[in-house]
Amino acid sequence: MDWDAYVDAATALHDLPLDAARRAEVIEQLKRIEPIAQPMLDFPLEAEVEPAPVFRA
Amino acid sequence: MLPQSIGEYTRLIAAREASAAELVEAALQRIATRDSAINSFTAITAERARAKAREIDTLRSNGAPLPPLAGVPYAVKNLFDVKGLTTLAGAKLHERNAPALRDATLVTRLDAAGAVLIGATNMDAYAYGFTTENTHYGATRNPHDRERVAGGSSGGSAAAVAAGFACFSLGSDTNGSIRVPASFCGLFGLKPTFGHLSRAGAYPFVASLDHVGPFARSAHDLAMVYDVLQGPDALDPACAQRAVQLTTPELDEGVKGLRIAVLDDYFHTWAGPDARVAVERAAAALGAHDRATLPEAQRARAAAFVITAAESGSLYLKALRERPDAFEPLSRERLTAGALLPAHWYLRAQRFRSWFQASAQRLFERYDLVLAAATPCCATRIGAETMELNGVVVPVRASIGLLTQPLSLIGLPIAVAPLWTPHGLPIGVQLIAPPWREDLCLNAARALELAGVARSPIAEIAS
Repeated sequence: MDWDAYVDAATALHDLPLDAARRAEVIEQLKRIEPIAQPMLDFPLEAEVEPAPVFRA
Repeated sequence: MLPQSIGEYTRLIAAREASAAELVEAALQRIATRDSAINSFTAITAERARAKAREIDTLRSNGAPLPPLAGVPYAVKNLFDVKGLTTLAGAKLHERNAPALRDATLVTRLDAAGAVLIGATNMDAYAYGFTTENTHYGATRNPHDRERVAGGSSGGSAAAVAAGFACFSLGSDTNGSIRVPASFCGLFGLKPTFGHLSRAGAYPFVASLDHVGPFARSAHDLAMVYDVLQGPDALDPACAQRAVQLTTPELDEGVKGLRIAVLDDYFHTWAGPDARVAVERAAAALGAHDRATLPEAQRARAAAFVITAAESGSLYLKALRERPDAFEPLSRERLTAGALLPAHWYLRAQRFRSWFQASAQRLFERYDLVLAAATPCCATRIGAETMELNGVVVPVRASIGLLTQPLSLIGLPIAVAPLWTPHGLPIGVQLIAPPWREDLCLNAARALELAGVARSPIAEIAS
């Protein structure tokens, strides 16, 4: 993932200008989250597995 | 005069050995002379506490029946609304907000039960952290070793109880923020089933994952407080419409006949030596010989991580844009990164959560209760950035919640029971039950206490 380009585009979209130090730290954070998230994102889920946060049973 | 339990407070008052007013003054005096060493409170509600104590003493002198928590001092994490106080949620960002117009639902219920609110407690800013190292309000120190953190994010609430300032307290737990400080401060803590206790009037952090619950120094006190807190509340859209299920009457039922297992795999891998010993001792005392696997816990932790980042980032996006300088430096860029996460990641995490929840339900067809350590290790040192865990160097703040995060993702009810290591520090064991079975968690905590395995002494703090 090209996080530099992503952060520049996303901060422009969200009207969230960042100075160089914050921009670098945000990119660092995203690079830290990516390897944690990736195996979860790759996990196969059937289409009928829908979000359901509350226990009913 | 420092009563050790709810029962001691109510007995002293009922027997007229002490008035509620005297007990409140003693609590306020202890805080005034000792909290400078701990930094557990951000506000003391002395006037309110004295008024409540007078109300209890008037009831007593009129011969009226006393409510169940009459005269018992308690504290709340400063994300709970307390009428007349600005709700900080640990954040300088919120200091200019107007004072709360009314109490949070749980504070109202405790008030009706006669409990005496003595103050609001320190926390990680926004509840985003596991150490209560708050740049603006200072770090809360662990009463059992002041060089160490109290855990977080409900660190002030835990420290206040461990230091004997309050008899019990309220915290919140999104990824472990009740269970981690209970472990580090040597307390009993309860994170109920998601939706079992009302969050109305508790400042949000991650709406999909936020829970609220109590800390206490005994399983009995924990159950008593939990029973008072229960009940549906239309003001919290996630709060279940369920009747109160009292846990105190059957607390001494024990765990006989329950099928109990120790969680292995991920929950063993990320437990350090002290944590593993604690789990083994708890398992032996509860007669748990089986090992059970909750598959994909690592991915569950990832899902909790993504949901937390995305929802908290979105919640604070406007303020990140308008007042970035007012933010906690330890979490500002984490929040910013969260606000930028792709929607696909967030939705995938929410869907994974459903998968994981179904997987846990299958586990609970075979077991009534499962155990895991609450934290990978005992309380870490204030300011520590990294630690070694089973030979791997890991970042402290991101790793303390490894054992709690996958479980709160699916809202399971969990009590923490405090065990003690040979080197004198506490470490907690999570007692994990199927949804809505807080009674099983609490009975197991009580059983560990009766077996002499779990205990929660007040820390010695010189004035």
